[in-house]
Amino acid sequence: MVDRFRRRRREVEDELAVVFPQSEDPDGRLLATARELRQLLTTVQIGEAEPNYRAHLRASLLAEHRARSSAQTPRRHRVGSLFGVGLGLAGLAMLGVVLVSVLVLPPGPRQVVVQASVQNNPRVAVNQAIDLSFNQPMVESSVVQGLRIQPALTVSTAWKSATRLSIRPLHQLVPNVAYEVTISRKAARAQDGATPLSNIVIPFGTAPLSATPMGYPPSLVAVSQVATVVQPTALQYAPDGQLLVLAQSALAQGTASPAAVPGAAGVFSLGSPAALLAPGAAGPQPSPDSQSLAYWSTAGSSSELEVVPLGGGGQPQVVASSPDPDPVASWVNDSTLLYSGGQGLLEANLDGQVTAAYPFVKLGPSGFFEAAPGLTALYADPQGIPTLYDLGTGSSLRLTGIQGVPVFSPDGSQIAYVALSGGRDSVVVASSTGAAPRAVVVAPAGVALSQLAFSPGGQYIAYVATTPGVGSQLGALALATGTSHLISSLSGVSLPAWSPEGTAISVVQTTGGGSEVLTIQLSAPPGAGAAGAGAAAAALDTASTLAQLQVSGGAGALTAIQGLLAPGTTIPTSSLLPGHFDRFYAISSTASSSGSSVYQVQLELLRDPTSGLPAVYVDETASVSVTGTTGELTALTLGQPTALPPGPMVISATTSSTAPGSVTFVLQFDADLDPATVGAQSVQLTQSGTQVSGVQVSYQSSSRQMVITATGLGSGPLVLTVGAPLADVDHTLISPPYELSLPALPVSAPPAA
Amino acid sequence: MTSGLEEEERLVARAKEDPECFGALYDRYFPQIYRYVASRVRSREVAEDITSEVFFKALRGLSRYRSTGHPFSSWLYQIAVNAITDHYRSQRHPEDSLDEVPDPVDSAPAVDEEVALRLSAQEVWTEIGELPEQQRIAMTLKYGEDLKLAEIGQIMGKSEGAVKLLVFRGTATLRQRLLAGRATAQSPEGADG
Repeated sequence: MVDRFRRRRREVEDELAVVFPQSEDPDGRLLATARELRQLLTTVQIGEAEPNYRAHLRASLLAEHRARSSAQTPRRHRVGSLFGVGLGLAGLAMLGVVLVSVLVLPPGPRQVVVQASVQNNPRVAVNQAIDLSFNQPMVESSVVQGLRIQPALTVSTAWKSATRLSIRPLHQLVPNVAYEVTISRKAARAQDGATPLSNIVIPFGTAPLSATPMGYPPSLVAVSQVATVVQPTALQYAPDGQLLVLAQSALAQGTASPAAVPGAAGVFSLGSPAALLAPGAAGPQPSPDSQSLAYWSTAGSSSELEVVPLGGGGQPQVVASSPDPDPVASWVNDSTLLYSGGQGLLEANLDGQVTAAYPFVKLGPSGFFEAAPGLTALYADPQGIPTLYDLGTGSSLRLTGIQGVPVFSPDGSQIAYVALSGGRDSVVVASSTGAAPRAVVVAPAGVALSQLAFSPGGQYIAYVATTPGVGSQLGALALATGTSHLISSLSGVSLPAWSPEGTAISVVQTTGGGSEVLTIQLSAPPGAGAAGAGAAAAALDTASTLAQLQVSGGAGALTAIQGLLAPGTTIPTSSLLPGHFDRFYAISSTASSSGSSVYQVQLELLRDPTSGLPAVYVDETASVSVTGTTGELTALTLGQPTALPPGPMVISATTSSTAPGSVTFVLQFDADLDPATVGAQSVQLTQSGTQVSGVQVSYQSSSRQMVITATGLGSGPLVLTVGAPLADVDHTLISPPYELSLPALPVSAPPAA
Repeated sequence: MTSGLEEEERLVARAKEDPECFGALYDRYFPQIYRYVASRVRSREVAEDITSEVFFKALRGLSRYRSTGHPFSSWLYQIAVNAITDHYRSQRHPEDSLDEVPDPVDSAPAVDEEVALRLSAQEVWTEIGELPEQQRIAMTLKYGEDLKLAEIGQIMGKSEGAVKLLVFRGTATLRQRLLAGRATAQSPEGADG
């Protein structure tokens, strides 16, 4: 083969002398140019074709070849049972397409063929658009009208040309879900009347989350009004849980007399009643031990840094002063403050001793800075240039594209800020020294992001999203996965502040009627929060390991599964079907009975659809005995393989209780729900067989989460059923209904984020 | 022992009936056809569109394909050349006619031969793109795909002699333009400012 190749090269080379004979090219210049051109152009690198494109084109060609052969030659048609021919046979899928094609299609003109950016990719990113490329100009309205995505999604479509359609989901795709895009054959009509051989079917899947519990930001469970305030400019929690607001007055909920500072701002503790801690104050900072409150007080042309007891009752103590117009102070420890002192950074202790600090840091004329906890880094804007200082090395880095003020994570290891790029806001997270910046989420065009706030654990960032015509709303993102959603539909919100436990976010909501401080209670991630949740999480982990082994299969899978079993437990390995599935959901983990150490974990194993074969699922219930943080399988029940129904499906369910007699379920759906069908009419909660009244149901479309809350409950077992008329945005009803049994109320404890 | 051409002819004959054999042909020729198309158009998307069109046309026309003693790839190139031409025509790019372009005059400036060796592929492709259509196709197949005159003739539906003339003229024009451009760029008048 090599010899043949060399011989050919030589023949082509020799042929050049024929093209440029000496008689027509006496000085040999053209021949020389030709040889150079050949050398240059045959060695130039052209980019390789996309492997997916190449593979898909091959499959499409062969499918058409088979269809043409079939149309010419009668063939036997056979229809196998769902599992009859065996799972995972991709060739069968293709045969399915061909058979359908033969039955449906008369020989036509030039058939429509489509390539998809996501075709057969089981690990598509949740923020990826679905791009379709047709082989000829299409009737655009017809194609869009015939477009369907399962599980149902609300999407926008845009034609880049008559052959290229971009489909963008309104909200991010759901992680770990098998999707199927279909366009009916009649709708997929080309401008010359051609159609495809059969319905266009494009299967793909999304990658699972790496850390399920932290994969989603928390959701709203309840909103409570805390206080009515006037001119609020800052809201924050002290480490001991006191909620502080900087405002002109504050009237705590349920009290009659407001605390006020006539004509000026003061720091109020929003207890009941609200208490004025510091009149005429700015820049309040509670100390790490919650014993003191530092703030700035105007004194003539300068500002004085004062400290009062956070519990109230003490006299202000002046520890320093600054000529800066807008000075900042930050606690270094319980007795020392770092502050902007006119020429640069200074440190003052509670005895009033002042020393210079970090002389390499240049501050802007206002004296503003933001210090990382632990003083690993500091942000300032000298001469208006956003600059990040590494306080350990003294090096600095200019931040580009930054909008507003950055925030540091509670452990001081990360910085987050809003950046404007390509006309869209994004939340960028980097190390606290600015290394490895990455855009975690990008806002839709026209939506402004601001007021970032790290959760106390550092897993989430709350933000304010301002949309023209809608106003400012509270959102949150999960750093591990980049998933984000609006926490509530409340508008006019600002100043988000996380509670120290991460169980709530307080905000100010300003409407035409004034400003209110609201506290939004948040849901718990799966398996976290309540007492006993550690055991539930351990059971979930054990069952997830089992399911993962069933998905991955391989020679060692059965042996590894045996290692999960409790002593004396046997499970027929023939029922485990290792390697026959593409993904799984660990839906819920609940104690078998009140106080039991045995948990029932709902699992669902899925095989993704392929062209021509539907998705298949098997329900599985694992009984897991938990000792400490270790779970062992004691029993396993598998259902029958069933074709996945077309309606919405619950893929995760968590339960928590924030008060005695209350329960909150957060159900994660795989599809966009029709909001009109969400409500008490589609939810039934019974306790000891008696229907519970007054159940509150809400739905957050951006995260596809339904939150169900009931209060005033007794101690009997609960059964939650969610069924028709609940439907997805394509009006497909949920079927079968989702059911979750709780032997008892979850132990009352605040949910944790 | 059989020649490569005979082996290929048998494969093509089987590919008319057997999809897998067509798949084998696809696997063999996809890289060079895609490479050729991608070198002639500006975007990957268009290259993919045209390459798809080439292979679907080949599949649909395979039953009518008869070997002419040239590689099967010659036929694929022929389809690709036509598809690229159709693409640019659909874009309404003005196409020069061979007859409207005067023959190059051998009056190239006396620039050192070494200058020509410093050509970049990008500028050469740009200049080839400016040649009349027939010259451009012949030049692309000759220098970009390293095909023989007979194969190019098969693709273009022309005699070897006609292809030889197109390549000769195209090379001469290209050399003249590249050297002229280089001389302009090197002279003070040609410099900005």
